[in-house]
Amino acid sequence: MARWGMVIDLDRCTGCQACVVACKAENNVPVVPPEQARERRLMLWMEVIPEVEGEYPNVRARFIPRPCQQCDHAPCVKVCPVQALSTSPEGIVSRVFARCIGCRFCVQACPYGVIQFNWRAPLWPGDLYEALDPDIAVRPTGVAESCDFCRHRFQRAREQARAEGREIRGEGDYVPACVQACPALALVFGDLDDPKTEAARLARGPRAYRMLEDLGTAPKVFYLKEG
Amino acid sequence: MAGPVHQRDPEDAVLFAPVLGTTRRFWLGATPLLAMTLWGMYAYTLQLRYGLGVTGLNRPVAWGIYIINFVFFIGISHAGTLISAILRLCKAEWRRPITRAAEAITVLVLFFGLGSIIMDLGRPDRLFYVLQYGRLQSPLLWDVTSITTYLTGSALYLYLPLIPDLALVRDRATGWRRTLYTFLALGWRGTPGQHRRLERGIAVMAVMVIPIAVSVHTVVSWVFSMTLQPMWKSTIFGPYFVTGAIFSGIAALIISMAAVRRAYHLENYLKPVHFNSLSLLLLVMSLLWFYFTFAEHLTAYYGGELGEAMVLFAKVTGRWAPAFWAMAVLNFVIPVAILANGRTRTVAGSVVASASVVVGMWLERYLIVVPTLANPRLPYERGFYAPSWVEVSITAGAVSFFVLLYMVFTKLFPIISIWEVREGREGLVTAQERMVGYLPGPVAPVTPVTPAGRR
Amino acid sequence: MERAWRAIPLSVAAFALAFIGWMIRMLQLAWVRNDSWGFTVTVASVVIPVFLVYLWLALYVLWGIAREGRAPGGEGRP
Repeated sequence: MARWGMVIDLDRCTGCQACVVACKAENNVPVVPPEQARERRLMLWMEVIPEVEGEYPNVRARFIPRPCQQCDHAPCVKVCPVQALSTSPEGIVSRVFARCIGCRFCVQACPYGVIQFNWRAPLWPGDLYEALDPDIAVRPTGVAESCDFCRHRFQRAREQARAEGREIRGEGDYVPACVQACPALALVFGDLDDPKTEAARLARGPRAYRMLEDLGTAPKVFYLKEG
Repeated sequence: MAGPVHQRDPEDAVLFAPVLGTTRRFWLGATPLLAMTLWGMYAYTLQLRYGLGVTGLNRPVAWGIYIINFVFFIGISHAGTLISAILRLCKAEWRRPITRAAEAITVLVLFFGLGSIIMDLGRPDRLFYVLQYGRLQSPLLWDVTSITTYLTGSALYLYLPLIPDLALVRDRATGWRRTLYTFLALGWRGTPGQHRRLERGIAVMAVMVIPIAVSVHTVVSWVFSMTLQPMWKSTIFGPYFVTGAIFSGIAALIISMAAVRRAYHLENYLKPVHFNSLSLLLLVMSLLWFYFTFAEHLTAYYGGELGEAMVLFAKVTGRWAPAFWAMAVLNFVIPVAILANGRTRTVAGSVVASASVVVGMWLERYLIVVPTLANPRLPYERGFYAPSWVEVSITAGAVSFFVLLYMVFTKLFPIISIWEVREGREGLVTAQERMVGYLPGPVAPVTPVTPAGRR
Repeated sequence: MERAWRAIPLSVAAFALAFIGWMIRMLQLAWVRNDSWGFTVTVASVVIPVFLVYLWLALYVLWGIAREGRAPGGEGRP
């Protein structure tokens, strides 16, 4: 059974946010009007966070794409009172939106702050409504949501593989929308348990690290620090 | 002394008066409270219609006033247990006029704690999923279990000692009141068999309700400390919250006692000595609260672990410094200054100290919830939270509704336990003999002492 | 009004039984879903005895008081 993980090369990331846009389009993430954005209610499953160290002219800046870290020991799964969140056998942390009661315990338990919440009725103005992806549920007001490595794509790929009478491959059969969209090829995705995949190889490399490693959440998103 | 139930006893008439009749003053007090309650309900309908966006909540501060109110109200509910149960077990005679008021606060305020958490849900229409699909790994389910157990237990613990009083009121009431009290009094006639059952029930509940109460605020604290957030992930939270709960509970009790004393002319029953004893307990809790708070903050400061240090300095010197130091003054400086000095430890002094504590403890809950959420470990989103008018209105409505329900309670049931006060009078010889039994050596027989004062 | 006195003891007993039933349902769900079994067993082993005590209270204390109240007997002290 595959254990899906992502490796993000910070040397390659240009901060273009193609991953952010692709994710929003793929997963029916609602648009947030400017007043709400000012009230800190943006909804971004994949977020590119600029990190600036130092003062001009000795500045060091980097862009950090931050999807859900898909932890092996996910605190969000532990605290959900109604099992709206669960970890699949392939290690993907995903949700049943129809179950969520909106208590926001997962939002508070996540140390990475990746979980979003529908504070008001979600909006898809104009043509965006026509472009809603039918493979993933549309969420109502008052439920929480977060990145699930485009699990609907995984399900499609698995059905395709079964139809062809084979197992799903650890690399190439399925990638999340962000990985597919990145023009700099900064995002790599694959089975971490299969040593032959690019993702597993990079995750074992000397440049690889994970965010807040010492908390013990065991995230499956690895970052490659600038070399 | 003892006589037929129907005999009118003029001495305790003032305890029956509120139940048997209502003055205009009651309606004058109840009307603004009702208005504020309805305003709060209106504010909640807006939230139901437009979603939680009408609040000041955001990312990263996704928990705010509703959770703070939840912890605060559940905290206040610890008044009844301590006073009633522990003092009963310790056979402290001064508890007699206080137990009913304390137990009433507990039962009523627990509903508001539950209400606060329901108000915080994004999808209250899915509330029963918690029962249908619950998982007991989640601290919220521990809350549901624990609070239900406590609510049931304290309702029973309020009802059992109420039964003999219901019988007393039944025999003096007329009309619909008589029907109501006859139903509620369960046919109490004071027979030895009934007394035996009642006293055994009360004794069992007194023992059982104490660990249940301790568990309630412990699991409420674990909603925070089971996460990995800075300054929430603290092993001390269980005892810290229970201490804070008892602290705020006693303060609320003192205020409510002073209010009913004034409103119903109960100066003869709620004497300065009762306020003095409760004030000393409040003083001890203030010192204990200070000890826990100091330990929490010193530990965070000394280790200087990055995530915790950010939150700590935000509280002590940063954005929340005014609230933090106000909390320290309200919870420690003012109560200790007033209550440590015998001359200021009067009824009025204890009410001032208690009001200070109630506000200070609400601030303490605020300072536990908001600064941590506004300073997450990943230094990307420094947060900010200002409650909206909807949240403030709902809070004001909830507090008003609680006070209103408490007032209605005093109209329906005697707020001082009449039979227990009478039992205290009749049991003076037993009490004296017990106290003499503490002294060394064989003692001479005790001459009964009549209660000082009037007859 | 004759049978109305049963309402209180029976409601308390019914509530206690309902809660115990819910806890058993939680145990069943935890077993079937293989999720939080340890937690569920721990919590159930504490709260089910508590609610059994509430059941005893409803039946022995409340029902007993009410039944004695209806039986003819002497007056007692209030």
